[in-house]
Amino acid sequence: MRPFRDIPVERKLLVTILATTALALLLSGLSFLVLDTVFFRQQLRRDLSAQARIIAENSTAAVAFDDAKSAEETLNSLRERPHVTAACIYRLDGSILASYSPARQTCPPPRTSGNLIFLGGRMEVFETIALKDRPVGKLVLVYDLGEISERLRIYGVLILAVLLISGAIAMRFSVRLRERIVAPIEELASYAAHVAETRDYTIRVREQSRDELGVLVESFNAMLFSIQSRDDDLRKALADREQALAQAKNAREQLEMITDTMASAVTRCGRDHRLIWASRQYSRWLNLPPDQIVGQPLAAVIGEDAFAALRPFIDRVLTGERVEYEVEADFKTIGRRWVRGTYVPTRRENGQVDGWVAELSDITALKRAQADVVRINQQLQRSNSSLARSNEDLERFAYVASHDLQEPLRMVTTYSQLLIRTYGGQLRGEAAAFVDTIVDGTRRMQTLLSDLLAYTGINAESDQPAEQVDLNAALETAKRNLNAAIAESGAQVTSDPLPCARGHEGHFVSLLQNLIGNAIKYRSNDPPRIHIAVRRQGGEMRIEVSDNGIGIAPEYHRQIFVPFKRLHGRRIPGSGIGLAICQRVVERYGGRIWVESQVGAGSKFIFTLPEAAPPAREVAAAREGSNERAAL
Amino acid sequence: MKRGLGILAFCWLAAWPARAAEVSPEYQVKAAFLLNFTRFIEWPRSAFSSPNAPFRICIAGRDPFGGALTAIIGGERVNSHPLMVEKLEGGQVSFSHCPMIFFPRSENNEAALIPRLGRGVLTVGETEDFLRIGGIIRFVLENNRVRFDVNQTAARRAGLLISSRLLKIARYVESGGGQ
Repeated sequence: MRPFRDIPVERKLLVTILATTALALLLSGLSFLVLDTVFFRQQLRRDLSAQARIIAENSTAAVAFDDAKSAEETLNSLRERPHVTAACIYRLDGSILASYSPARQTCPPPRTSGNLIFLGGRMEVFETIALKDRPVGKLVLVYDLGEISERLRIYGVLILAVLLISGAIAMRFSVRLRERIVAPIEELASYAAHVAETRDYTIRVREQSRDELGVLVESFNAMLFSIQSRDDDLRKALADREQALAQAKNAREQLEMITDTMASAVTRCGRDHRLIWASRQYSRWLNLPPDQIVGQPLAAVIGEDAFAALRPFIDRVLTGERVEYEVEADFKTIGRRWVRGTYVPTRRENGQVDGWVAELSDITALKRAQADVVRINQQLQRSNSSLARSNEDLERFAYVASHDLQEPLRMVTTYSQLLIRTYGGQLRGEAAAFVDTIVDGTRRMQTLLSDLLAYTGINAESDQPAEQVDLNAALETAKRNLNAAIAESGAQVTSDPLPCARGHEGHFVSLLQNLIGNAIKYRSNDPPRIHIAVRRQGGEMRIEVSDNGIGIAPEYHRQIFVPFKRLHGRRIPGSGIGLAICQRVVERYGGRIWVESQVGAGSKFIFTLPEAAPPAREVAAAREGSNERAAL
Repeated sequence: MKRGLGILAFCWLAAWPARAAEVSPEYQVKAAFLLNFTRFIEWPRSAFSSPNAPFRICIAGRDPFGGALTAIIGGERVNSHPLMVEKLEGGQVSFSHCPMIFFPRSENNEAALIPRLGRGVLTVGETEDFLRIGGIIRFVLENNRVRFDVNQTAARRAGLLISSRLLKIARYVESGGGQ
């Protein structure tokens, strides 16, 4: 069974009411019973004593005159007392004079002392029958105390009945109490349980009365309200916190992502020179696990030597200055390293410097590479200067050779021609052919020498000052020089208005003449169509010379610019140095030259020149030209 | 009640262990009755000359009690009057000093004496017509037991006040109109 304190209030009330009622009833009943019994006994005692005296008095005559009949009659008056079960009158000698025994009970013998005794369920009353103070006999009355137990029984039944009735009333009363007290409490309890279970704090309990329960309900509601608002606040705070945490996590991840992908390592230190945070790069670099870095003094992490090397920068950054440095230091875990660092002070809200953030790069390899580069550059410069010297010597030799060779060659040519003119008729067929071959050879050699001279002369004449050259004029000169070839081939040479360029006019004539000559020389079966276009692009001029010739296979696009490289052998005349001259001219003036071509699809030679400030006239013309092209 | 006189006599003998073994039980009972009568009857004050005057139980004739009566009343008093027995023998005619006179059956003189008696005298006799001739209490034997009849009218006339308790146990009470 449950202890009293755990049973429901309703039951408690009922039990309390019933127990109180029963206790009160029992106590009052019992005390009443006891009192009644006591009083009853006392009264009975008095009553019976009186009765006995009366009977004794009334029977004195009968005893005195030994009249049994009369004595019996006197005793018979006891019929009015239903509980007297026996009564006897004794003579002085102990013999019975008269007896009364409705229950056929024999009388106890007379006693000498005590005139009233209780014996078990009966009371015996003794009375001396005296005649003028002289005892003449004795009276004995036996009273059945069954009356008392009967009264007790009746009282018991009565109390029981009252108990039952009051119990029933108490039950009804407790039903009322239930409605008034327990039901609201139960309702409240169920609401409380519901709230505890569902955490739904929006519930409000209906107020039913204005007593303490009403106050309780009101307080409960107020409590729910405050819990609800607190719950809301809490939820909001939790959500905010989660969001803040997520943001912090996000920020941290971003920071880590950034610092992880950064080539340089990042750390944050406090005023006490302890590491507060370090990027993964830092621990990788120092070859230390993060837990041996974060929270440790910097001197312990990198070693006293390295710390001593960095100490000046640390002291500076702690004064609030941004510090950038490169230093070589001996690190405890990784040895001597060159480090490039940037220290940025961190500040509290009040502006006080509380540490610094360091961005560190290991520039040891860079420093080594720099040293290597310096060394190699020096070597390179050395070999370059010797190379340039030998190249210069060679060029001068080629220039001088080609210049000086022209004189003896001209003599050979002159005298060969003189021989033909003077003795042409005397020479037999075969000898005349030989002389013609000599003349032809010398002519080719002359061309070769002049080309070579031109080629070497491009750089040789570098000491002459550059001038503004109108490329249109240069084109005209080139076309005039190529007049015979143009006429023979029926070529059409067209051009956009060309810009000006800085340089020597002869160089540009030679450049354009070689390109146009090539276009005519390597023509297809159709008459050549040559167009010179101009584009300006990114601060340089781009001049394109397009033709409809035989085209060049891509694998030769580079070879053709090498001196004396000929694709077609001697089938097509030429010194094999023309495109090399073009390249030299273009490169001398800081440009580039290349070809775009396919076999059978024509060629487009493109060269660039740095843009020179053109005369306004030409600029306008160039603009009109490009406008016209745009219109086309 | 089937107890005989013998037992009753024994009872009294036991109570008063006097000599008089020769007296019949009947008269021993009657002697006791005489004493007992004094307890239930009130005499007028005029019956006594003084408060200390003896209460004489007079026997009119030969004494049938043989000393039993004397023995029973020895030392007893009625109120303040000491009891004593007096025999009226011969032709003695003065009864005025006797509050109680017993007329033995043998004498048969009551009819002559009673009418001459004054107030305050209780007459006790044994003859059949004792009450009719004016006697107040008459002993009778019934089933071997001593009983008595009472003539209430005569008693009133004599100025005696008989207790109702005594009247109740009387076998027969004559009271005026006759019962």
